[in-house]
Amino acid sequence: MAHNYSLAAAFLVCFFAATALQAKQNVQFAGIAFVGGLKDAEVTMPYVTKVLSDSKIRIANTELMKIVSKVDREDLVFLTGGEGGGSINSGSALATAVAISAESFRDNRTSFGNTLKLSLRAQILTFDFTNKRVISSFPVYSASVKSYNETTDMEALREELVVKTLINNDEDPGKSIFDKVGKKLETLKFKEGWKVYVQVRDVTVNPPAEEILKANNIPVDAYKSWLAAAFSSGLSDFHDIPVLPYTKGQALGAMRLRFDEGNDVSFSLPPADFAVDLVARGFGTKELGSTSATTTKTHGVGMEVGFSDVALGSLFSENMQMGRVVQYSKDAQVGEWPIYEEVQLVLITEFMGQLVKPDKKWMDRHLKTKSKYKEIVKQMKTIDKNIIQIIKGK
Amino acid sequence: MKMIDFGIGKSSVIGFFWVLVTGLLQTPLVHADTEWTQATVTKELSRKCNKGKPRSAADYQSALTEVKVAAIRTWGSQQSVATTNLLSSAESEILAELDTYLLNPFIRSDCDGKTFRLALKAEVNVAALNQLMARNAPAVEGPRSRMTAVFVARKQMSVKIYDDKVTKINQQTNISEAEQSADVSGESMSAVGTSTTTEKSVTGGSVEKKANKVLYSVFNSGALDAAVTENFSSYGFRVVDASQVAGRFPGFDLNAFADEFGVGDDLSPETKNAAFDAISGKIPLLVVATVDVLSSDIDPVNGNNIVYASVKAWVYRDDGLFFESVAAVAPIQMRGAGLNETAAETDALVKAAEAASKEIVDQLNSAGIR
Repeated sequence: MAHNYSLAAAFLVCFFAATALQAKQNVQFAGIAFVGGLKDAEVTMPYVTKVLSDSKIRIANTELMKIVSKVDREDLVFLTGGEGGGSINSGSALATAVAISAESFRDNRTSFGNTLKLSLRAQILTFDFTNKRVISSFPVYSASVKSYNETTDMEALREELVVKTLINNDEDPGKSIFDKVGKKLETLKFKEGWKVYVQVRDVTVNPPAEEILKANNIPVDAYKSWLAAAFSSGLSDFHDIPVLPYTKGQALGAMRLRFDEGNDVSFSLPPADFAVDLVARGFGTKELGSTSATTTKTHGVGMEVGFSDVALGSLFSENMQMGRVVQYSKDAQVGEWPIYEEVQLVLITEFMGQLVKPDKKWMDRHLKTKSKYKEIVKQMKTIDKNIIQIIKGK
Repeated sequence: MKMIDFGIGKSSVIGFFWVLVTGLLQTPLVHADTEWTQATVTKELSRKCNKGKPRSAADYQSALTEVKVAAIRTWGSQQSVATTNLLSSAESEILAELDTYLLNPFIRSDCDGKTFRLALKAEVNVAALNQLMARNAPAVEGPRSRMTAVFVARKQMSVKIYDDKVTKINQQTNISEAEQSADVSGESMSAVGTSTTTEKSVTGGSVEKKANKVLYSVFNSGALDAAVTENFSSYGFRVVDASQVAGRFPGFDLNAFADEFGVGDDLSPETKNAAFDAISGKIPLLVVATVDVLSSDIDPVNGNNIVYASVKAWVYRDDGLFFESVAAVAPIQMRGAGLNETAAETDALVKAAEAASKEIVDQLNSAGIR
């Protein structure tokens, strides 16, 4: 009799274990990839590809896998050790990877000292690898700054910044791309059913803005990619929606990735239903006043943001601007560009908040428009209701 | 109460549970091909919209049907002519079951006064459309034509790259005034006198580029031949094995086919004409195709081998006097996967042959060739 009970108990344990495991969806974690294929990645991300060359990418992948394997979710489990979930024959179609899309170094020389800033952009891509098709793309951004002097080995500094920004930054824990990916994967929605997509379609730089870019040695195309990525990150982070990557200059509807083993794989991107068009209108600095020791300046950024339904046309288009007042020591020589960049990021983040909860004071201050407040609020609510909530499937 | 003993041991019970557990863990296979289509329609209504929608449900429904049809047609217009023709012939059935062929639709609309616009994006159910087109292919009464197909499998062996041929010119010419005016005014050679001469010095040259020469190794693939025969036979063609044709009709020289496709992308007129003469009046349809094995790779996600193959084909029909070209397949690339390179290569070859034979049959059906 006891023998029979133990058999029945074994059956129940196996049954519930199987049911519990069945309830969790398997998602193959494919590790690090580079956007743009081998040759493009080496040109557009020379230091990241150098740091992650040869066997080093495996070490980095191991670090990333450690972070990902700690992600504990009730709805799914990440397969990080080649458990077979990713095999075509096993039928698990969903996979995810961290695709690094851009590196950007900014050298800032001031009378206080010099700093080098690295910005890295990546996407958490979910794809159906059986059909080689991207299902969703969530942007991730991280930056690190380090001071240097004339004796610093600049190559070593750049490589150190790559490690700090991408893998692990002891001085600023939790801020590396890997840490952010781990955090994001805890809540990221994994479903095959994403079917509505938004994408930054176009970035235009007006002549006055182009002049400032030139004065600061910023290539126009690099800035366009930066602005598109910054806006995509803001939209995705604030509203928790996937945003298709900005693919200007790449094959339409396709995204090429280079994985660990050096293979290039082309994925198809779903067509965007909604588009964002951005215009960099200009950057300006004005002196507000000075004392014998200090100078007070305001740095302003102007941009135009447009949301459209790709099939039905424009839903929203407004000019906006933001300034920041900074007091400088008269002895100091400080580059303007890092401040413009910072102001633009703040403007983007605050604008995202306005889409959910419009504030008249904010609009009066930052929107340069002839439209009435009520009309703008209506348009903003349309973006939230007809784009963001629809993408979320609500 | 006594439990019934089924006469199985503990290990069998555990084995049964294991089967149950692993069975529950199996996830369904996903094999769908994803292609998207989009369309927008504009309708002028008789009355203004109410809350962004037409007042009449029938107006909305009619716009919805119209946009779905437009989406299918948009997708069809990007396919081959043969597929488009077959889609047209099956349109009534597509219209009756639009939702079977357009999956996961995303529909949105707007209305400005009496102008109503409806936009749709959807995934195309390619597999279902292919099945429908196969069902709607022109009915075959009785057996179809005899056909023989030569599918040559090739793998690039070497590429000979030629240097540019550079010709330098340094020439001095004495030309008369009359010659100059003749050049300028074409036919009017009524130049007067040659009293003055001009000395013209020409320096320069030309660079002649010669195309790279690709050498292939040609090989037999039983799987490829089987796939081709199976595909054409399934559409009713009476396929005669090419080696049997070569054995019975001298002039149909498979070795010449292999030799010539080993160094080029087409057959010489001599080989082609000899083959036509050999089968003239006996086998009315001849299919010639090359299937090239392209690059191989490792799938980064699952570690499987991947091989790409490219196929192109030509179809000739005996019209009694000549073999006219009745169908052609521009290069199609297919991806094969397998646990090793040989398996992946075979998979790619078979898929490429299937794609080409389906396109050939579609074109023959479309042209009414039995």
